[in-house]
Amino acid sequence: MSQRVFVTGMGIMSSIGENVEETLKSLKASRSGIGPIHHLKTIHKDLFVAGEINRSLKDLRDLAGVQSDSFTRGTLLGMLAAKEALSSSGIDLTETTTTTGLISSTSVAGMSRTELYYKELFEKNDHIDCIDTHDCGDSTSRIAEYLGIHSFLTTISTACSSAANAIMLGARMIKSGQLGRVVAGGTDALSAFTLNGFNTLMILDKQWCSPFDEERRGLNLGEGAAYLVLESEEEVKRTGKKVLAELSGYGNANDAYHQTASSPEGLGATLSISKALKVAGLSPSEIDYINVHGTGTANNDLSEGIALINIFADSIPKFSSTKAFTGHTLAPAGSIEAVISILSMQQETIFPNLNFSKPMKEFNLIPVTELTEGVRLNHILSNSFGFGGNCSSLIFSKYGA
Amino acid sequence: MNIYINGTSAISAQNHLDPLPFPESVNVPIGEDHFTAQEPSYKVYIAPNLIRRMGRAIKMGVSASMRSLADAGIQEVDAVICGTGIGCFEDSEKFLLTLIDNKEALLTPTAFIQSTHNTVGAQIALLLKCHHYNMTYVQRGFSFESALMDSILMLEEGEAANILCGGIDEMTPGYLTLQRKAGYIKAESYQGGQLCEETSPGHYMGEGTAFFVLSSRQSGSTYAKLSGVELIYKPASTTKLETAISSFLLKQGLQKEDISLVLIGNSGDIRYEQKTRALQNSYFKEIPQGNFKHLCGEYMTNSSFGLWLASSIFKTGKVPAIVLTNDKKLEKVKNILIINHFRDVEYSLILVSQC
Repeated sequence: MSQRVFVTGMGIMSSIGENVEETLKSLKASRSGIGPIHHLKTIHKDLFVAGEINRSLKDLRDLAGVQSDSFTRGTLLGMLAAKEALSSSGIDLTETTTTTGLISSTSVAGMSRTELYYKELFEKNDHIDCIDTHDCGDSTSRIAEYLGIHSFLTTISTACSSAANAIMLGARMIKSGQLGRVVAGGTDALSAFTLNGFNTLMILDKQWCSPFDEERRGLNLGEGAAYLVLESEEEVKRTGKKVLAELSGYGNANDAYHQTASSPEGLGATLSISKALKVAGLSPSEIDYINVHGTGTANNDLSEGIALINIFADSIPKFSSTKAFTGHTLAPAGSIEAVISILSMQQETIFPNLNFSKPMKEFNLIPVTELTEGVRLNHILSNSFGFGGNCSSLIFSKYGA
Repeated sequence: MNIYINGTSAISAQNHLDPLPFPESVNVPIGEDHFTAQEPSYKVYIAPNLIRRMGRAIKMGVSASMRSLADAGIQEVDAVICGTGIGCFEDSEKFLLTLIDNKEALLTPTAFIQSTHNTVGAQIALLLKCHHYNMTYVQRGFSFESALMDSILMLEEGEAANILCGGIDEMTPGYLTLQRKAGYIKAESYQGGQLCEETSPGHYMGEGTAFFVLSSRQSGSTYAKLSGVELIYKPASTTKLETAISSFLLKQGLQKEDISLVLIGNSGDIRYEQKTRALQNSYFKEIPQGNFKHLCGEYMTNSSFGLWLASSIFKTGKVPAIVLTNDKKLEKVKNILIINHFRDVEYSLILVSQC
């Protein structure tokens, strides 16, 4: 039984970079990945901006080294990010006896492919395999196959908190001794289904999103994937491997307020943060930085802001939303922001909350708006909240802090 | 630690939330290729204005979860953990078809809102005002098993005393049509039988839900002990599967002779059942056997129906004759092992024991 869980590898693919190194460069240059839509098939192409990865499906297949058109965009993104995570951890799965699991997550799943063909599936016989690539399990099975993971796999789908929950389950399974090592995270591609869905809810910003700003108009959708390699204390000791960070806390709670909206009291978020602090054994004052969920919708930012005040009262730690870099990537948001949080910790740098100019009238919460270097960040909180009231929080701590 | 099943309720082709015992009259779809769930009167559990908008997966899941709580005699739980293979397909399909037909114009949000895979768990949390841990698993034939595994882990961590855990999957006419086109459903219609000696490809599609109140404490309503769950991904051979089964049993301090009844989830698709047939005909040859998929049809979370059936057997002390697939004499039922698989990929073992 391991009391502690360490991050020893990470991989990421989003509109600000196709790996950790590119992601860091964009973050340091305050370069957003949100822009015009090129690849997604939608009539709203010119109406919205999005954090789209500038790659065609064929490009992604080539990058992954596969040919079949049955790989969905989300699956390919997941394969690439998970592979980077595993290789950055220096793991050769053919040479290890440690039980390795894959806990992935997705909310769009195969919809990005299904939506292209659904009507004609009933009329013709082409692409009938959509029925096999539509469900969430398909992407995880293919990612596992690609990585060579056979011991354990599962998939979580709790909307925009999915990847945070995958990381949380990974930690719990390591602590209970069921797994020695877990690749955990999530993946989602842009789809016309989600773009139109969020559009009907009128929570999409047609311009660049501005989280925590009084004049915020909504979110920008994004796509991407990110995975962490989590390992037990024993495994790290045995291999003497470099630790990137410790996953010290996690919490999951439900807002139980509305199917899509967050409560005005931020109850779910308050509970998930306080649970994470409890697991980490930290007091609120020990949190040095928060990578907030901060989608840029009127509802989320207000609810999350109230939750921060509930927990941290008048000494709110430095915080920023990095959604204005990547867009809201839905299921993988939690793992993408976990990677960004760990980069913040390693670089001792807070990446800015872009497009912020005017504080919200309800409270005096001002995010970090400039790249801030030279700040020692021992404990970072990362929030992910989703439809269905699903709220999850993770805490990453500097190794040895 | 011991984990108890303190309440359960299911909706399937066989039952519509009815408590025990297992219905005397068995409902099998002679002449059809799928098993449609018998839906209850939802208004007992859900407000009429909500019923109108909800997809069937949501209605079934929410009702069964409420009925399970009543069965266990409790009002609150410390976690809601769900598993679903295809999620709220009806709502997804509705939004997608409108999107295609209307060329991305004039869409309304309801179907989109309910299309996310966590909708059942979310609606349960909303109805119960349950702010605790809430999770949804979506890994094909591991969906419900992952939910069970998480529940056990959480009870062992001491983070919960009572957990609502369930599996849900629905059929829609469109889904059924595409499953037929993809060759997953048998060309011939169901003529009865227990699906363990089929010679043709394909299965009979099904749908349903079963929820359970899992608890760290025994109560007056306890059905049985949930002794263990094991997920086995793509066992390379029958021998590997047998090894996994015997080491699972060993972990529980059991040998295969201690199994009073083994429920082998055969869907009747000859392409995927080499291994389970081998278990049936050799490894478990001397053990009383049964199936459950000839009662509920094939869907990704039908092991939840299997667990409901096993729980019912413990509560009533009776094994319905329709369940049994061999002629080995049943002694007093002490341990039931459910072996499930989905298309020869995700295999799972669920052990249920007498208290």
